[in-house]
Amino acid sequence: MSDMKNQETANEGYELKLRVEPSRAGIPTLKFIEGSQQFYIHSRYNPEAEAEKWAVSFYEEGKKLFILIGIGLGYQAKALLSKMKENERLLLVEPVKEIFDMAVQDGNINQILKDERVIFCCTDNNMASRQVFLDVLRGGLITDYKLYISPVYLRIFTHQTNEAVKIFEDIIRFEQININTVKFFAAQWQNNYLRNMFIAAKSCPYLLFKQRFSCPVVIVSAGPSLTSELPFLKSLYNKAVIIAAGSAVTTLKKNGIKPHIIVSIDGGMQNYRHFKQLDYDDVPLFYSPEIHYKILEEYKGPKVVFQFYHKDLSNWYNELLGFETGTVVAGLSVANVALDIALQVSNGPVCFIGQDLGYTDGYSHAEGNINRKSLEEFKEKGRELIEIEANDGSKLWTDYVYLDMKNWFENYLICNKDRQVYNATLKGAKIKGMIPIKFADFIENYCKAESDIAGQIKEILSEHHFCRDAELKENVLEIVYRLEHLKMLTLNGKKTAAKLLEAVESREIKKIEKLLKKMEKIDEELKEIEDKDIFLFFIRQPLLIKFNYSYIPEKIEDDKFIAKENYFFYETLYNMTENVLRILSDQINGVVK
Amino acid sequence: MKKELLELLESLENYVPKLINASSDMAENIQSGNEGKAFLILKDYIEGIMWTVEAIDTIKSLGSQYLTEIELELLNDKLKCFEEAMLNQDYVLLADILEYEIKEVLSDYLNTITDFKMRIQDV
Repeated sequence: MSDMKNQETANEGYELKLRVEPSRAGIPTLKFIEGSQQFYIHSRYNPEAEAEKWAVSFYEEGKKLFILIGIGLGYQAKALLSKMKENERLLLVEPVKEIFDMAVQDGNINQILKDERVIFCCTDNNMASRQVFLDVLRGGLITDYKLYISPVYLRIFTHQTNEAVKIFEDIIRFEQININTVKFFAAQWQNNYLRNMFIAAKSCPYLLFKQRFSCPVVIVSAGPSLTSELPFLKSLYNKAVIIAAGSAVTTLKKNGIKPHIIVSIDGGMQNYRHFKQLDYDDVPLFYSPEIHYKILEEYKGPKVVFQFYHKDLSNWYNELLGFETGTVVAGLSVANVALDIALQVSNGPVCFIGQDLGYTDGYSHAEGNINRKSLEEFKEKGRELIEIEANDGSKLWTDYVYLDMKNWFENYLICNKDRQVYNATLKGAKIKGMIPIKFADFIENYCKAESDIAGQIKEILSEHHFCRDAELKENVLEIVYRLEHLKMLTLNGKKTAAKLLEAVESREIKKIEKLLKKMEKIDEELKEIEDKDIFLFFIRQPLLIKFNYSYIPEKIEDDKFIAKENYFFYETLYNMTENVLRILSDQINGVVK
Repeated sequence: MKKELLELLESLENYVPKLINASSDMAENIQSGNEGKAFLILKDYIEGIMWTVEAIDTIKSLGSQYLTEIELELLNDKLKCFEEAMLNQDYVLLADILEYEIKEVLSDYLNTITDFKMRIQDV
């Protein structure tokens, strides 16, 4: 403080003038000067006292995450941190970089940023701050948060603060869509993952296909614009790798066009209904293990397995299968994933067709797709629609699900600026980073050389030597053995939790104490085996999702609440373990047959 | 006359502490982000300040030696700053003016009023 001096900053072109000066209490405060007017961002008398009063009012016990948009010199953050528990988190969002720079110079903020409970981002960098928000979401913190937007910032730095709020709201909405998808698919996802194990072991690893081509790649998506491009596709079979993204393959099939690769990831029944119509026996299906198990059981063509990157789970799965599958960036849609696959398998230019991300000509999908519905049907169901600009300058109706897929593309392409990605869906949504082009022009400019692409793919498939059933069976039997142990433990947990709940209801204090100790031992044993065993940790995932997002027992009294929570947890874990055991046993028996 | 004077001084003695507390409460609400709550009592607060100023002014007019330590201009200046901060929606400044300036002035006034009342009673 003794070496504190007035600091000023002026940003050329924006006339942002900030000054750090001593407050009456002697500690620094921050002033913003605009012409003849000036505004204090903190109290000019006592910023610490001001922040303390605010923190007393704002802090709420039980919240996982506090978000503060507009940090200034960090007084509110500091005051709030002094009240927060170790397991609570504080997300600090600074919309004005110049203020952050001054805060760092001032020094007060440096200690705050080192606090383990603090997550920080400066929203002048849109991409980086989105990633921070996303990481916070994926950490599960966003289920229970409290937000404060500095009124001073809203008043003075309106544009930057609104931008920061918008990024935050976008991510929340993205998460809401994801939560709904995750909840819907969580148990189903696990079900598919387990059932697909033996087929995955007999599939070809995606890794073999990396950087094997230099020709162009055309990604066929299922949007309404696909119909008009179909005549061009027929001539491309030996000139470009044709990847069908998900349900687009059904439109291709109906029009007698065969792709080179089909990509599919969706674990839902609806996806299976698309594949029921296919009878290819030579087109490889590139899939992730979460795909609906019936697709893999019934599809006659070659199968190529990839994983979405998850450090521990990917490695564990590779060990189980006996080979490295190769990984792909996870996306919101199969087309997102297909793009990463395209850029990995070939270093040639990539072109999208049918990537509308909106209701082109009043429809959701191309003709021939079983999901095709009219825009009117969506309106009747109350779908929230937004009008955006299409590649050809016209207006296009879209919705938030599509917008999130579009955002995914745009963020992905920022990290892949060196690659040429074209979008021949001229009536579809404008996607930043993709170059709009007429499909005919793309073909003329890039699809000149001919080669036997299907032959090359067949050759790559033949390079893989398949794992023996016996080896995999042995690995799975070992998992079954561990699961039996888990089942006993969870049954014990469930019974103990039931007795605890009874004891709480009848207020038998001594019994409660005894049972709590027993519960603690079971919890510890569970944690110990999960820490060592990624598979058992993985079993819990759908339960954790349910717990975070759905389960709200009646909070009558704290002890009853905890007892009910415990019972719900062990009962569900026991049921899940049983279910997993049953699936794996069926798989092993299937192999024996 | 003395009786009426003492009654007025007593009213001031009872009322000014409430204004002082209201200044703190309003400042605290603004600093907590509850400007709306603060402004609910704004009208009454301003009326209370006006009454206080009039009461002091009345007492001063009764004798040249009465409440000479009180300079009403001081409070008026603070109120002008208060008004400007309201117009600019500068709530940080508003809270500061309430907590550190108006409250301080009112507290000084209260001390002067109390001393004066005691002197009058002794006479």
